[in-house]
Amino acid sequence: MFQNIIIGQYVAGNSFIHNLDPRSKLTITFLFVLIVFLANNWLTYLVLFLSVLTAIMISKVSPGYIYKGMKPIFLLVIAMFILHGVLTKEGELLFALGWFEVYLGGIIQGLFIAFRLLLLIMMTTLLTLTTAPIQLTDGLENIFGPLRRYNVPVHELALMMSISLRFIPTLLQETEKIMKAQMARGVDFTGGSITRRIKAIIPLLVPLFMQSFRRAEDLATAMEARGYRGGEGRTRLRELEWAQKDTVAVCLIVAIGFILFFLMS
Amino acid sequence: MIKELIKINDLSFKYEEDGEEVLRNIDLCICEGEWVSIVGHNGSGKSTLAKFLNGLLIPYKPNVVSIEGLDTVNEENIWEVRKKVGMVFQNPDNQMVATTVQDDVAFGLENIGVPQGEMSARIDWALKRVNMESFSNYEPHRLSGGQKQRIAIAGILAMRPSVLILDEATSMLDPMGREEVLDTVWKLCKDEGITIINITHDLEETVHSDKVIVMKKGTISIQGDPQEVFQHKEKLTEAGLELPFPLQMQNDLMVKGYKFSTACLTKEDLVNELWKLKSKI
Repeated sequence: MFQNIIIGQYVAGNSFIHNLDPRSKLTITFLFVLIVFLANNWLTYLVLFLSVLTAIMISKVSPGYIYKGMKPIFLLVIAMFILHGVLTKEGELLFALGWFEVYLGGIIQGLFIAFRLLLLIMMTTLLTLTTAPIQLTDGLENIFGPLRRYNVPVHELALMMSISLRFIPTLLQETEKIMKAQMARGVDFTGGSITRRIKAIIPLLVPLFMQSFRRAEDLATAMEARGYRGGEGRTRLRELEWAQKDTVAVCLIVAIGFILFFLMS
Repeated sequence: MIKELIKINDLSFKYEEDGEEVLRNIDLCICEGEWVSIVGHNGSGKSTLAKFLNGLLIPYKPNVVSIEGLDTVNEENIWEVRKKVGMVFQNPDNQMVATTVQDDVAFGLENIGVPQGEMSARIDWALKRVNMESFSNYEPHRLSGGQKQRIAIAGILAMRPSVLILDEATSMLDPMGREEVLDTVWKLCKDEGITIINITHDLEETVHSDKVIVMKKGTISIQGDPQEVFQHKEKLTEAGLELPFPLQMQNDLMVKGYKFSTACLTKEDLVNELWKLKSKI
């Protein structure tokens, strides 16, 4: 049931985008999120859409993956579209059904918002598809590194993140095991009313939590036994390297930002 | 001269102030390159003893536990000690920290501050020693139990320790995985001269060791080489241990009135002895 799961959704590859430093990719995504909010007319959205499309092409990630990443969010996109379409009362009245009125401005606004969401999802999906989770945590640790001066436990947070990533598949496998064990004892996870189904989850969650606490304790001992003593004096196997291409990539996104700034109405 | 690596002098310990003593007056000496087995039933204190060997537990007073001359009571020595003594634990799932094999092997190296340039060579070397060099980019959940334990061993090996402790490291593995792990460790002991301390409740695993230490209720009940230790069959059963099959077989035959000259620890020994018996008849 949980076999062959991929942590995050990283797809290994060797494209320009794959090889960018995670810090530059994070910066670019962050800037992109800001830039998307500048867009407010067709031209600007076209520019953004084309740039995302180019990025996807360069990454050589199959569009199928991008689509898969976007799928869970479609419902939200449609909901946003309808909500804006109905609630924005601007421009020409398209049709009215009693109190229910739809305006052209509303449709356009709804489309823009939906499109904006889709662009955001495409970009972040591209980020997670082309960057290994461990690289992402490394990147985040590095970017937020200066906060250490203000007593923010950056290293510890990053370690927590990477350990959680490491244990997601393990916990899923364990869930499956416990489920089978409880099913063998007569627990029905699929049938019955909602209350019954929720109750059936309890014999699943209790052992899972117990195990996780034991795991945490074991892991802490094992880490200590291997000489772990916090972030101080640690070296790293993967040193992040900011190359020229990273600078180029960040400059590109800034340039797109400027273009948008001039094109927006 | 053979170097003494670990020396324990009259170690007693209890987890709670008014609790029962988990360890009582332990005296122990382990030399370089030895394969030492510590056996005992659940709750005999064998895992607690192991935790003293790399500073996970610290004795109350000085001059009790010393590792290569470093007294673990001294806070500053602990990190040195942990570099010298590596430990593999029971549950293969609960000791891998990183998301890929090579990152996990690197974890210990990162902790002790090995420069980055040196790391990949050390990782490759360690993975080769445990026959896992082709798995360096695998995620932990795609490995079998035996493979995970071998990665754990590699992670320690990369730190170049002088002692490797297996704390019931094979007890959760299937027979195949167990054999893989024991074979690997055996090679490390013979080829690299690493001292092995294997903590187990399975006497079969102790047959080839240089020294067997039998623990019972926090004390050492017998210690010596396997031939010696297996003489004390009653004491072994008393300590809650199951005799290895050949020895049990021999025992049962002796009860029936057959006489044997030596204790048979392996199947080959037993078969040879049986042939001898047969030819006498």
